[in-house]
This record gives sequence, C-alpha cells and structure tokens, in this order.
Amino acid sequence: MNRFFRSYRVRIAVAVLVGVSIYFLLFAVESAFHLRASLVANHLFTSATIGALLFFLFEEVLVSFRVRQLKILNTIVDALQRISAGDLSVQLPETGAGELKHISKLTNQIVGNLKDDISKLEKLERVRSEFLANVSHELRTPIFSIQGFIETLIDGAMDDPKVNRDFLQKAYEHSERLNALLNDLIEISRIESGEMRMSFRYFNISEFVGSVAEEMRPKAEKKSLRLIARSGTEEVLVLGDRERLRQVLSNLIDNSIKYTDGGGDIEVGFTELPESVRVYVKDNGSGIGKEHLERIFERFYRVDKDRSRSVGGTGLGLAIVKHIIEAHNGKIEVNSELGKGSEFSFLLKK
Amino acid sequence: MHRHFEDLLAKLRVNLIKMGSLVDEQLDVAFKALHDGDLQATQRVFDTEKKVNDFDNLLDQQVDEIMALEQPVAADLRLVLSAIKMNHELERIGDVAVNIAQRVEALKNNHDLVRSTAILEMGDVARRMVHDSLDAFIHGDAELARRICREDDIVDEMNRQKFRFVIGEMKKNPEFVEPGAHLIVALKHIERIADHATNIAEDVVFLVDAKVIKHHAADND
Repeated sequence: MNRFFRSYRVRIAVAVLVGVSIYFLLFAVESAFHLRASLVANHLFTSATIGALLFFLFEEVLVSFRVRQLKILNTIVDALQRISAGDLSVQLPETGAGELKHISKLTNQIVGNLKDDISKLEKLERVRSEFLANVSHELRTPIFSIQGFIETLIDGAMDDPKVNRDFLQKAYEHSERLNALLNDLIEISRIESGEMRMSFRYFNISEFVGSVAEEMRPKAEKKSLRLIARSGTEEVLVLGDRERLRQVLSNLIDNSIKYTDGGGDIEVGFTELPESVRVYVKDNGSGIGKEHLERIFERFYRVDKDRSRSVGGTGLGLAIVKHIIEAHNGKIEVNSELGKGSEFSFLLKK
Repeated sequence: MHRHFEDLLAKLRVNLIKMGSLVDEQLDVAFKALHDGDLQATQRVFDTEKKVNDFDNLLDQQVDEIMALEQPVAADLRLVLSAIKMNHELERIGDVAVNIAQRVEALKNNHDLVRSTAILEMGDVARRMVHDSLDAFIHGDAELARRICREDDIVDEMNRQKFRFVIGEMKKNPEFVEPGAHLIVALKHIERIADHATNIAEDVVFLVDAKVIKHHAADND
C-alpha cells in the first residue's frame, strides 16, 4: 500500500483529483451565493492546487533521481566488494551524477592498473623461474664435467700417463668456464641492482679502439682471422666509462671471433657524427637469423645451444653489453644476415 | 633562464669533466710509472700537464664571463663557485702528479724500498678518492662525496705509518737516506692528493645540498 502511494503517477493523480474537486466545490458555492468573496477564494484555491501539483511533481522528480543514483552507488559498492575479494573482471558503467561517474571511472582505472601490475609481476616471476632454471643448468654442466674427469682420474686414470694430463687440462678448462659464468652472473646482478656506478670520463676513442683491438688480436690470429682496426690517429673525445666500454668492445670482438670461420675478417672502428660517435664491430661470420635478432640480448638466449657451449660462451655476454650501453643512455644496434655476417654498433656522446 | 646562459653553464660543466678526466688519467699514469720505474710513462704525465693548465685558464675565463654577464643565483651560482674551487683543486692534483713523476728517476734503482714501503697502497686510496670525487660531481652524489671526506683520515694514518717505516729503513741502512728522502716527499705528495680530493668532495656537497662541510662545519648537523 505504502509502495502504491510512493508512485509519482498515483500522487499526481490524487493531487489533480483533489484540486479538481475543490475547484468544482468552489464553483458550486459561487453559483449559489454569487458572492465576490467566493470568486477571490476560488482563485486562491486554484493557485494553491497548481502549487501543490507542482510541488508533488518536483518531489517525484527528485525521488526518482535519488533512486537512480542509489542504484548506481549500490553497483559501485558491489563492484568494490568483488574487487576486494580479488575479482578483477569488474568493469563499472561510467554513468550517473558527476561524482559517481568520477568514482566509477577511477575504480575502472584502479582495476586496470592492478591488472597491469599483476601481469608484470607474473612476467617477472616467470623470468625469475626461467633464469633460475637456466643458471642451475649452466652451473651443473661444467660441475658434472669436472666431477667426471676427477672421478675417472681417481678410479685409475691418474696412473695412465696417456690421459691423466689431458683429463686434468679438461677439468681445468671447465673450472675456468664455471668461473667465467659466475663472474658474469655477479656482474649482471650488480648492474641490474643499480649497484654498479658508471665512471663517465672523456677519453680518446681512436686510441681506445686501437688498444682494445691490439688486446684481442692474438685471439683472432689464433683462429687465422684478420682483425682490422679502423681507429685513425686524430684525437676524438667521447664521454663514457672506459673500463665498462672496454668490456663491451672486447665482448663484441670475442663474439665475432667465436662465430667467424678461419680466414674471415673482423673490423672494429668508429665513425664521427655531429654530436656523437658510432662505434662498430662487424664480421663476415655465420650471421644471425632474423627470428633470433630480437632475443639475442636476453640472458642465456642461445641461437645454437650446442655451438654456443662448444665455443665457451656463458650466455650472458650480450645481456651485459646491452645493460652497459643502456647505462650510457645509448642503444645497441645489430644488423645481421645469415651466412653473410653481423654488425653490432652503439653511439657515444662527444 | 635564457638559452645562452644555459649553454654557458653546460660548457662549464663539460670542461670541468674534461679537465677531471685528464687529471684522473694523469694520476693513474704517474702511479704506474712510480710502481714500474717507467720513465717513458712519466713523459705522458708531463705532456698532460700542459693540457690541464690550458683547461685551468679556459675555466677561469668561462667563470669570469658568466659572473660578469649573467650574475647567476642559487644552484647556478653554486655551480659557478664550485667550478672555481674544483678547477683550482684539479690543477693542483695535476701539479702533484708531475711532482710524483719527477721522483720516478730518483727511485727507479731502489725498487725494493718503494715496494716494501707499499707507497702504492696509499696511492691507490688517494687515487680512488680523486676518482670517486669526480664521480660524485658527475652524478651529483652528495652521499658519495661525504664518504670521501671520511677517507682522508685513512690516508693521513697511512702517511704517518709509512713515514715511520721509511725513517726506520734510513736508520738501518745509510744507502737508503737519499731514496728515503725522495720517498718521504712522494708520501707527502700523495697525502696532499687526498686533501685535494676531500676539498672537491666538499665542493660537491656544497653544490648538491647547499651545505658547507669544510673544516667539519657540518659536524653539528
């Protein structure tokens, strides 16, 4: 019953009915007495009726508006309860009065941000698990080899002069590989944690390129490769951390040596640009397939797993190179064609 | 702030880093020369000295221009004031590197004494202080700068220990009197390098935090 009277149509009908009844009543009185006073009263009551009518109408509009906003508010409360319970599929309609619309919009934004954060965390967790699995695998390989050689030596090979020295040499090589891997792991964790501070200084890039090439030359010559340094004699100053960049250039040249067959050429040099210097290392080695180019800077990513291990790579070299160049506000670029060779380059500020 | 002023400040900073890079390398070469008795390397130290002096003049000129034409305030003024002081300290470190290089000839036949004094152990600390103070300036790292100031005491203590050791060696063997005297001078030079590095670090704290910490002024903070 109460609900019936709360309907605005019923209220209007009642108001109109009451108004019309009073009007007819007054009309009857006026006809009966022909009094001037009754005419005045008639107009007064007519005005009062219209006023009441308008009041009811206004109230109904207000009530209906309130009911609609309450409905939206309930939807928001319901959505927030679902979010707090962990349901992020909630998407609120962005309607209603100013503030409510704003709350709905903000809630949707928060849900969006939460979804992004969770997917980032999930990705990080996946990367971490993959990294751990890779590290365990990479560490296990040389340890098993060392154990194998030592076990064979203990089991009697120690007294066999034909193999004992060879086995010890191999065990030593694997221990060196283990050491290189651990050093790279320490390096990458220091870089990623921001613990490594870059010591930026101005230095002569032509002298620098020449000296790194000289350091790497014996290794290239051992594999009958020609290492050409295009460094020039003129002093060209660049800003960078010389020791870290030495690591970058050595690493890139070392990769070229590993993936270029005997008799091939490796070229290291730089070209001057208006505000920077482009340093490059190129070779006519085996090159990298297009499908691998995007991923070669990832930790432990290997184009050819067997070959990479046989040439002694830790799988972290290019990841470290990328980090160091990024710490110089630069980007490492790579151009490569399978079977034709590769070129790695980066820019340094003058 | 107008573009011309920004350019002047950027150039001042770049030249300060260039001068610091030269001095850092000069010091490195001087210590290696002392350790190896390498006279050829000392020539590199003397050659670099000229370049360092050129930067000293250039920076003075730039500071004069900025002060006269731009009247900098706040952080810009601190950069200019620090540049004046750092320029002076770097130029002095360059001079001390030359002084150390000049001792190489006198000490090259007394390698055992140089090594047993472990002068390079002290040199490494002082050189690292210079290196770190330049890093602190480049990265605007006041925390690192404060750490450098604390390291000065280590060098002072090393100086006292090594001084006593050299005197002891001179007393034991009269042949060591002459090289010992050169070593004591070299020790004093290294101690001065650490002092200059500390001054640069104090300038960096002033530049970054606008606080004066020289003569332990920040002890009450």
